[in-house]
Amino acid sequence: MKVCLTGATGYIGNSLALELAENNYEVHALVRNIHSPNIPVHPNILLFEGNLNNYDTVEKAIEDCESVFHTAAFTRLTCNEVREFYDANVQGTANVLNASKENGVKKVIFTSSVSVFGPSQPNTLITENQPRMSSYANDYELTKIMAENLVLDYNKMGLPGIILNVSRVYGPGNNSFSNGVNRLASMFLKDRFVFVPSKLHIETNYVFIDDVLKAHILALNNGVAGEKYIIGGENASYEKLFSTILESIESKNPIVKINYNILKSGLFLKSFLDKLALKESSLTPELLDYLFTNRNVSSEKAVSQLGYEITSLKSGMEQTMSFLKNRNHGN
Amino acid sequence: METKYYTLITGASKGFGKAMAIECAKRKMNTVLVSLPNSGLNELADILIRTYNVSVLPIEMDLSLTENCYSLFEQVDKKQIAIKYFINNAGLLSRGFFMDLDINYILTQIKLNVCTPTILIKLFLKNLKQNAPSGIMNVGSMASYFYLPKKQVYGGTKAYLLSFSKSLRRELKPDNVSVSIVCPGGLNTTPSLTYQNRTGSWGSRMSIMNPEDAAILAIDGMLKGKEVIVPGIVNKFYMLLNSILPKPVKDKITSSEMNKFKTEMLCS
Repeated sequence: MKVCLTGATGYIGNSLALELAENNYEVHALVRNIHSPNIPVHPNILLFEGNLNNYDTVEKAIEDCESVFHTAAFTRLTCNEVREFYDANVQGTANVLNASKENGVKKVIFTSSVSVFGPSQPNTLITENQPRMSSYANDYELTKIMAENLVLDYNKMGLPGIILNVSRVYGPGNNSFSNGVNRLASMFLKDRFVFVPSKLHIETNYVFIDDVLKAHILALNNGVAGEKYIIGGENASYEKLFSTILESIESKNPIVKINYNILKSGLFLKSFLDKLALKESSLTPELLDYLFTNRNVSSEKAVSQLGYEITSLKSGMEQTMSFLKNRNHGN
Repeated sequence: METKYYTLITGASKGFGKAMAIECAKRKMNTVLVSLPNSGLNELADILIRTYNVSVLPIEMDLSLTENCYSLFEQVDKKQIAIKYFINNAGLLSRGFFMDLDINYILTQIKLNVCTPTILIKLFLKNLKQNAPSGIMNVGSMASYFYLPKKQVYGGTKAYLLSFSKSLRRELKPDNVSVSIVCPGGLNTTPSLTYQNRTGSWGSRMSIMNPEDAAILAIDGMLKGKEVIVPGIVNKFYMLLNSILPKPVKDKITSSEMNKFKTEMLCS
């Protein structure tokens, strides 16, 4: 079966392209630059050079395909140009949906994020029908929900669409902005001391990349059009995340806590100076708060309706650390 | 036994109404929440009950129909619910130039923004008087004060609410029922409005607020019995400008806004 995939050089998209190719799908991969180092290489993968904002190139990649995996997104949270997010995430999604509709695509799987639901409330797991309890915290969340609404609009117009709300992904794969846990884990491998903000009780959900890939294929086969599925792993506090990482590399290196509020004030100053210098900050106070937000989720709907299975944080992290060790040796 | 009091909020499933419903729950105030069917009201009620351990009664109905206003009153009355605060928030926003507006849209807008709050206050006034000291809060807008293109009918309905609230406040003073009006500026409510707000001019971007922040100030003002609540420093500053700037200057600002709309139209 021919399928189109956008975002083939991204963290999820790259691995998903290879997974689909391994499973004998013929993959039309839309990429901005066919010489990118992150291109997935496999005999079943056919590259289409183009851009989400160029409709004709999107349509060329989608033509003849039965299904579309739309994983491409602008995720660089440190960018403060809302236009960049809008063009890729909203306008780009509109182009993918429009081309899919015009070419009689039978199913579109849209990769989204659990962050569109906002923080989880105390003692409550985020489910697919949790109402948003506070305003959109940043342009990424805002444009992803706008894109989700487009998918649902097109679904009503007869283009079957399924939304996967993926939690924080970790595991083997290429380096990109959306791969924060891997970057963190690499720090634990390399550095003697790791400095962390003091809010270690904050709980977020961590999903292993292999589970995310399988979920996409399950959604293609078993997903119901017009539905959202939360694709998560284990809920864990930062404390648990760090200890799991340290255990999996048998490290006894100490973790040094920095007072959260002091760190945040420092970041206020830093991002103010960056703004004066017209520089993009690598970490802003808003991004810090965003990363330290409770996001406990339930993947129950995907488990019961798609047949989705969850890899434990311990097992996933062991595989991740051995991947990262080997990669570092390679360097 | 101590009476269990409730705050009734109309239009509670989305935007500012939802933010006020959440804010009330955070303050341990029980609520009766009203909004259109299938707008996610039951999910909101569930999470408020679970998270904040308060009573929340969701009622789904279209309040632009007069018979539904009566039916809302009857439902609350039958359950003998004591209303302490009544928040008239349900309303329809402005949609464009007068020429292009659908007459039925305008009529529904006038009904929902003007007739509905008027009828509801009339019906619930006895209940509120019994629970005095109590309060009414109507949701106006900065457009209650400013005359802007694209906000003709909307601004008119909100100006009605301002005038109505201020008169009624004086009338109900002896009954210990306070009447307030909150006049927010631009709020980040729906995703598409939020996006529009983020791409606006610097002056308007500065005045935009998140509904949860405006809700804190609105509920504070209502509980203190303030007459007019204008959330946000920038909006207060615009109100001050409005009262001191001479008319020709204001007209100039309005017409430059108008020209912006015109270029937008040419571009789109």
